[in-house]
Amino acid sequence: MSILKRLFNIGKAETHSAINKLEDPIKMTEQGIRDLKKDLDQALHALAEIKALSIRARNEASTNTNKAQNYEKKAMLILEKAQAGGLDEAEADRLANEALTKKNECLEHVTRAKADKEKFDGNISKMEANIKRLRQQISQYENELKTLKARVKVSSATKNINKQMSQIDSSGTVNMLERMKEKVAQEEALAESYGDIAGESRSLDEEINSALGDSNATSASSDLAALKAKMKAKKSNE
Amino acid sequence: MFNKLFNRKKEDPKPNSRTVRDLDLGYIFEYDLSTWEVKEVYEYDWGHEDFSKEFKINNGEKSYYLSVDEADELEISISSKLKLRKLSVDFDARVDGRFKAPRQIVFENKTYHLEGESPGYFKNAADEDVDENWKEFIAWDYYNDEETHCLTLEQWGENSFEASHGKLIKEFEISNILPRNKG
Repeated sequence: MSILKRLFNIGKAETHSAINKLEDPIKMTEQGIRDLKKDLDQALHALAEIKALSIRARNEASTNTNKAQNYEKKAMLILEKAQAGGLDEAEADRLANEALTKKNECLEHVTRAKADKEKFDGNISKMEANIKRLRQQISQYENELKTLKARVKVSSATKNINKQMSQIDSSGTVNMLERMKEKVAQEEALAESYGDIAGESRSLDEEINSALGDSNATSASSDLAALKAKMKAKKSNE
Repeated sequence: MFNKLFNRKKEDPKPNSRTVRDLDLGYIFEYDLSTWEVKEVYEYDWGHEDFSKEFKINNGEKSYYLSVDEADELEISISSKLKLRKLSVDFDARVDGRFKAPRQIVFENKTYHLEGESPGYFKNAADEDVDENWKEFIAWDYYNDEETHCLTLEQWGENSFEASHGKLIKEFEISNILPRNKG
């Protein structure tokens, strides 16, 4: 493989990688759903057109059925009139024939309109099935998108929490606590050492006083006893 | 320029959320197991920013009027024109020169009670929105005891009256609304 080709491949790979990073799957899915909705809207417009054609065909069939009945009625009235002597028989036959021809024309229109309507209704059924599928697809994608968004939120929040936790452990609090513990231990050790030193450096007088106890405390207790005796004597005198 | 190019808002199509409020000329919908097409659209102005719409609908065999009024709550009715002679109403009754609408009307064994008198203006939506196209009229609305059916008397000009009779329907009864491009 030539160097240039390899370089080109590297460039291609890097470009793809950069584009992949730029792609936001949520936004892309949203756009996809929007496109599908647009397709659905166009399909609905087309369905509306076919339904309108079907209504028109029905209307045409109905109108021509009424017209055909009307022509038949007219033909009968002409013949009745001729029978009653109100019209020349040959002329009556001609007019009745014309009316029946018109009636048949109308019936042909009815047949054609009904066939058209059937054809349109067939198309409507097919289109409705496709539209139903498209609706289901959109609904499914929308639901999946909702789930995807929720998952992204949860994973993003978890990622943030974990990141913070990891930052706390490595850089800050744990180390500080450890250092604090060490410092306290040092302080305690220092205090203990001072205590030992203080114990060793007592004077002879202090040692003697310590052996005799606290004279002030003795005095206070004898004063209390005297006071109690005095109060007792006063009570007995009364 | 780039801002203009990229910040342009795209309108999302809403194919799944069309309601009776969105109905317009040419629209197709299902009602009572039949497919109907909106053939004409009428606008009503009742004053105080109160507007309502009416649609002439056809299913290939029959034509009705679908009225959509959202003054307080959505009221939808399907009605058809009624021959005046079918009503036992004295259209010559006048008080101070004005037609005196009866408090009650009995029609097809149902008693309808007068709900109110509503003067308003009417226009075909296809006509240009200019004063000349708005026609003044007065409507008297009647409902039966159960409020399932309605009857309306309308006075257009001095001595011209129209009547219609129909039933009130629920919004869900109009379904599968399909849009169509006008024209």
